[in-house]
Amino acid sequence: MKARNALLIFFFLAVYFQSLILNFRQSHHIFKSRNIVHLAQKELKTFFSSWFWNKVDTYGHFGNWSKDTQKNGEVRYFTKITRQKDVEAIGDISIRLDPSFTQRVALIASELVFKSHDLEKARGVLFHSIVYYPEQLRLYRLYGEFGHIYHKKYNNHTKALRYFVKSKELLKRLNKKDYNFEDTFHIRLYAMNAGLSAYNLKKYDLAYEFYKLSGFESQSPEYTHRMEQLAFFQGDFKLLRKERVRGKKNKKAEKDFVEHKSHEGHDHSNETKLNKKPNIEEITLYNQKMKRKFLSLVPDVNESFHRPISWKTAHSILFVTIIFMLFFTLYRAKLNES
Amino acid sequence: MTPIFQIAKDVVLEAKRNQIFWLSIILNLLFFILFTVASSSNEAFQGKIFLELGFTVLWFLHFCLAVFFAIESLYKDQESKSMYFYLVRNVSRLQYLLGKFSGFLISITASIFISGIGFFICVYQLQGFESKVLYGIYFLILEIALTLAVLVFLTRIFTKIITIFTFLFLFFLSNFIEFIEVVSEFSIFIKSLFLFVPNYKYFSYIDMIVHAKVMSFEYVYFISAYSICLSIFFLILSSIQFEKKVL
Repeated sequence: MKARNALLIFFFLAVYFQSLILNFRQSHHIFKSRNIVHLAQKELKTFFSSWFWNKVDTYGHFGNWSKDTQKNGEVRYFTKITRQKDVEAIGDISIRLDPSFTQRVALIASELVFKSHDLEKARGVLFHSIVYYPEQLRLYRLYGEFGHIYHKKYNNHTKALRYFVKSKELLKRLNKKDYNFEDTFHIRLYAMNAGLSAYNLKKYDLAYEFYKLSGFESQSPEYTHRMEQLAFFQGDFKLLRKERVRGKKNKKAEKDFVEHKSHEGHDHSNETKLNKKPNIEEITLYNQKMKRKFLSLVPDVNESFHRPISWKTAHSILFVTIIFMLFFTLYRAKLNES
Repeated sequence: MTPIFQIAKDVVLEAKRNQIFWLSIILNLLFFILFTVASSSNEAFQGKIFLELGFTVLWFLHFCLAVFFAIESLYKDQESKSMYFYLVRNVSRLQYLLGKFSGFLISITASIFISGIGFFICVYQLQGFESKVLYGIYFLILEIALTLAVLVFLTRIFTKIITIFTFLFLFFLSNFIEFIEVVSEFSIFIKSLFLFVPNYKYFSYIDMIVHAKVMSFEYVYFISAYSICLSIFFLILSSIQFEKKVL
């Protein structure tokens, strides 16, 4: 019996590993066993990286929050990741395990600079990902993040512009059809900052290129005036007016949608939703739904964090169990009599 | 009641002689010491992360211990015919099952207590007194009780390997049960069947222990009632099945 069981387990494991190897070979076209082991290691690292990232999400939500009441009476909560050493530590582990997740790397670098004021660590994180995964599709994000950091935090426009230009070059890797919401948002953000940097360095033509890329986004009055003049001379004024009208319509909905993402600092993007053309009603509904879900996660609102209990289900279980116990008692009594 | 206590006592003695039992306690304590030493060097790991790691190890090792120890002991009784030793001495089958269940529960609770004390000392060293740890240990004991009851039931129906795989299947299924959507005319019937699958999703208390500011008494009441009722339910089922079985 024992030998048969051992044989069964051995057979099961053999089939399992064989199917795993076959899957690897078919999906990644590798045949050497050394490469398969290497790939298995990589997959394992990716798995644990994602697992830790999931923890970043949980720890981020259950960390420190500040409460802010708006003029209209609406209450808002903002994370204070600076005081959450554990979030930084787990985030760091996650991206070190797998630096190929561009958006995670960019986000952690941004948090490190703007909240923990640790430029060196942020540089390390960004360079690590750039050096080990130069072929990543959204590499523009990492260079863009560099530019954003130098522009916003250190006002170093020369360095910032250098990174923004590189980021713009790398953007060509990505097909316009494959842009998701995060891409659209960050391309505009980087382009706005790049435009300003170039304007400050008096490189007006370059600034205009970025101004156009940002969707003719207005900034300071002097900058906007200068850029509008350039648009007029280059024959893009019609395009500018069209963009402005479209921009006004979508601005509110987009702002609402971004709010949750930017404050929490993690990926809630919904690919299927974002690939479609933006629909204001859909976005507003999604935003309201996320807001309700998100508020239940804030410790100030929901102090004892536990899954909501479905009392209908729970009472059904308890009721049926008690009926069953009674039945069993009667059954035992009858059995004893007989 | 005496036969139940006697059988439970025999199981505890068996556990004392079992190497896996001691190994799990030693592993638990070693992990806690390791985590404490590692956490002492970095402030970021001393708070919630330490609590989460410690509880994960405590849960995982005791969960494995419950599964392997209970299955090993119950099938060993069948194979070595030591079950008949009790049954021919005017011990009913229900008493035999209850005795076994109580023995397993006492042994594993003892192990949880020993490891729990170690963990509590480490937490005290790093963070001071944390009453949440005590709640966590209580929830773990409830989860183990339900697990043991389900295992006792499965061992009355299936062979050893099928029991292990069925239990693992039930465990994973119940963790993903909320994602299963039943779209058919029998949906009410299927959903009511789901009620009697031990739902391990309710036992996701580690996140609560780690992150909650205050403990929810609603949850404590619910999880206690749920575990006790469902454990009794599965013990009754296994008893009925065992009564019908021709030995």
